[in-house]
Amino acid sequence: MSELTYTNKPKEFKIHPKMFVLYLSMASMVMLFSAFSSALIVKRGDTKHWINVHIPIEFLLSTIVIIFSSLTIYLAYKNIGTKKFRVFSLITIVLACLFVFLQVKGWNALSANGTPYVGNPSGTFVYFISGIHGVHYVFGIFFLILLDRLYSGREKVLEYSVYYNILQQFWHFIGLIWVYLYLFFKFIIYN
Amino acid sequence: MDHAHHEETFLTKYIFSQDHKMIARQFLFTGIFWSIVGALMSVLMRIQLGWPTETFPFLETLLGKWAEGGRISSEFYYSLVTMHGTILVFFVLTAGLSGTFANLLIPYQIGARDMASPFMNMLSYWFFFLAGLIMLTSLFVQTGAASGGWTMYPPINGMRNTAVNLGSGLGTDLWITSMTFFIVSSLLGGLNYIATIINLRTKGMTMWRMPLPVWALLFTAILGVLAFPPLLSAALLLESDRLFDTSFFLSDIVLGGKLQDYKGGSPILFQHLFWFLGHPEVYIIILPAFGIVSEVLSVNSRKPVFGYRAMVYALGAIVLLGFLVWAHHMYVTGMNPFVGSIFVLFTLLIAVPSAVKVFNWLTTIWKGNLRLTPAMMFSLGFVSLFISGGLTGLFLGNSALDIPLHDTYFVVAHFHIVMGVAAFFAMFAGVYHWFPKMFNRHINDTLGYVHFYMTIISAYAIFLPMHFMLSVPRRYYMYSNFQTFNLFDDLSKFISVFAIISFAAQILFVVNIVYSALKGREVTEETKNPWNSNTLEWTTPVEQIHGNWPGDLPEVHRWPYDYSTGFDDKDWIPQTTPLREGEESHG
Ligand code: HEM
Ligand SMILES: [Cu+2]
Repeated sequence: MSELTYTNKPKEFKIHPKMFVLYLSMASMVMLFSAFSSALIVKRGDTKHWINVHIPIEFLLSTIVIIFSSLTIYLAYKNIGTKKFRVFSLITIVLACLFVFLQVKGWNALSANGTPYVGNPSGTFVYFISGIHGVHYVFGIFFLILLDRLYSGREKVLEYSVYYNILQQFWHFIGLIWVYLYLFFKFIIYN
Repeated sequence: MDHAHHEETFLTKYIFSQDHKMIARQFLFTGIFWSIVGALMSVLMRIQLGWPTETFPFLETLLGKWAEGGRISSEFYYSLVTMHGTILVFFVLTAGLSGTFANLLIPYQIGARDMASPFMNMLSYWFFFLAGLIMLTSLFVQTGAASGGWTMYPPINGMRNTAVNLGSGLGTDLWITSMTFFIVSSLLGGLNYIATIINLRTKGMTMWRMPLPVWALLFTAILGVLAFPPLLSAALLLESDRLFDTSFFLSDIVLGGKLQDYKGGSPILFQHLFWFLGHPEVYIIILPAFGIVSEVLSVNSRKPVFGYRAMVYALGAIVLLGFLVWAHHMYVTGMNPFVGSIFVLFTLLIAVPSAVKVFNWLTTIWKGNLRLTPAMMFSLGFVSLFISGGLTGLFLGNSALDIPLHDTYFVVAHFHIVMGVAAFFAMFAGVYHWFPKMFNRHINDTLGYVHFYMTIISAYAIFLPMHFMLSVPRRYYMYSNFQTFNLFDDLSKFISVFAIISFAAQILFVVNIVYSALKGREVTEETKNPWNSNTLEWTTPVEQIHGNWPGDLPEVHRWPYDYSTGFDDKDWIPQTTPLREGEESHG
């Protein structure tokens, strides 16, 4: 096979192509959660079968944690190349794990309060939607840990920060989705 | 993007290739495999429908317990209906069509080395392959493949109850798993296509200079990226109902006289989620077809596409309206008539951009210097089919007419003509047109014409008569128990005979592809642009290299449809030719 020859100068991008792909995939994720949300709104309209669910306090705590983790990942990003990066990166990982822990606690609280997973869909939806969000979140944690491991101090800081920026934006996005879901559950659907 | 030189092995060149051209071929061959499987299933169904009381011992040899005594069992028939629909809609006309031509044409026609992320592109193919493998496996499980219809409606598909429906067992679980992989594949592909078109166009290739196939593939990708996630949500919720006995889509179900535990769900909710993808899905299938046909018609009429911008705006309008019409598949679900009438309105509105496209195709070929290559014949056939099938859409779009017509052979005729056969015609046109580029050999034209005439005659012979069977319900296994339908016995045989003829024509086509790819007349530097086409893919050297163009990427100076402009003694001016004095630029 002949050699690849790329004599053209690399193109200047306004947005890094991988970042662009992330933005596009955000549109897909928005559609996914809109589909779940509208399903829930339709369900809510069916008053005959509706059972209200008490949204446990754990979900409020996890919302606070997720907002904080957005702050810390931002600080980590801003401090790439300095010693502080590692500190903020690790704090973010800890907060992320705390979020997952609180979600699981939240599900336990739901079942304890008489809203099991298998039962009226009014309640099942809470588990299901937060679970799908959780899958996205765990995906993020994987990359959070991966990028933390790959960090090599002062070398290749520029290239590294491109990837960390992509992760950071994903993290804010998925955090925002949860904040939306929490408010949607608490004040629109289950009140 | 990794531009480093790398050694290629058999594995990286042919199997885990990241080269868009090779991935296009992988999609094409996988698509061909699935078309044969899907078409074979339709032949089996037609044998049953044409000769419902006769026995064919060879069927038992072939299918074993699914055709005991030489007659297809009803359970197997329902699996056939379901798998035929699924395979052709998703594996052939979505992945096969978009996968092949997006991969082939996007980098070539915009002047790019490859996709924005060749790796994601490779993943997209392998997720598709995996989806296919799982679907194929489901044909061999003991309780049979999924059999509740390609639309997977609950309640029947929401329970793993094989006593009610054999295919509702493992077959349906595998169906849903396979579709999940398929959705991931489509999303990976779509994201990549959009990113490539937006970011990697070569110098001078402004958006308004892009060939119409690229525009069409861009809109297709946008549709897919926005419409597949709701289908994913529906699939996941359905699988939860099946595996964990949740009640998202189930309520108050009595089985064998016993009330089941399901409480509070709604099967209609599934239909909303499904058709929110389902309707855009039909446009995901037909938009690439639009693009291919526009290109082939223009090149072979030696005339510029008529109303280039109108074509693009029409595509945009279809994408937008395509999201607002899904409930026209649900007029009979007891929806509020007022809501229904809103969907009628949007549905009829979507006929407007469709009509614009048809008008522009006809005007493009009008007084053109037509070259009736096989690709051109299939494109003309496409236009004919799209008009025939579109007209019945107008009937079905009216809820008052659709309520009696829903779930009858009239609907079967409508969507097979407008989507099934039409999209196939565009795919054939694409294969004939770009064959020299894909395989560096010319395809046999004579066999091409035979393929065309056999296919168009049998397609109309199969589907036109179905319009008269507008009282006959679809998806029935046997009509002989119903006195009224005996009227159609002969017609049914007639249709079945043509179904077999049409299948034979497709075998001929596959033979032609394989034969010509191995033994056809070779393409040389002189004949490498056999249609005298303006677009960039024909400027790449005969010896295909990863990166497409040796040296610099071509620079573009004009739109792709400068045919017979009078500014050159030839009747075509490639996009790489600078504007002449006094010549005006298009876009
Ligand atoms: C003039 C434009 C069109 C209109 C007004 C229209 C309208 C409709 C309506 C109302 C139905 C539902 C019929 C029923 O189930 O009772 C339907 C079914 C269908 N249409 Fe169209 N259609 C149009 C064009 C198309 C196109 C361009 C495609 C595909 C390329 C398409 C593919 C389908 C399919 C696949 C179904 C049947 C789905 C199923 O039930 O399995 N239609 N159409
Ligand atoms: Cu539709």
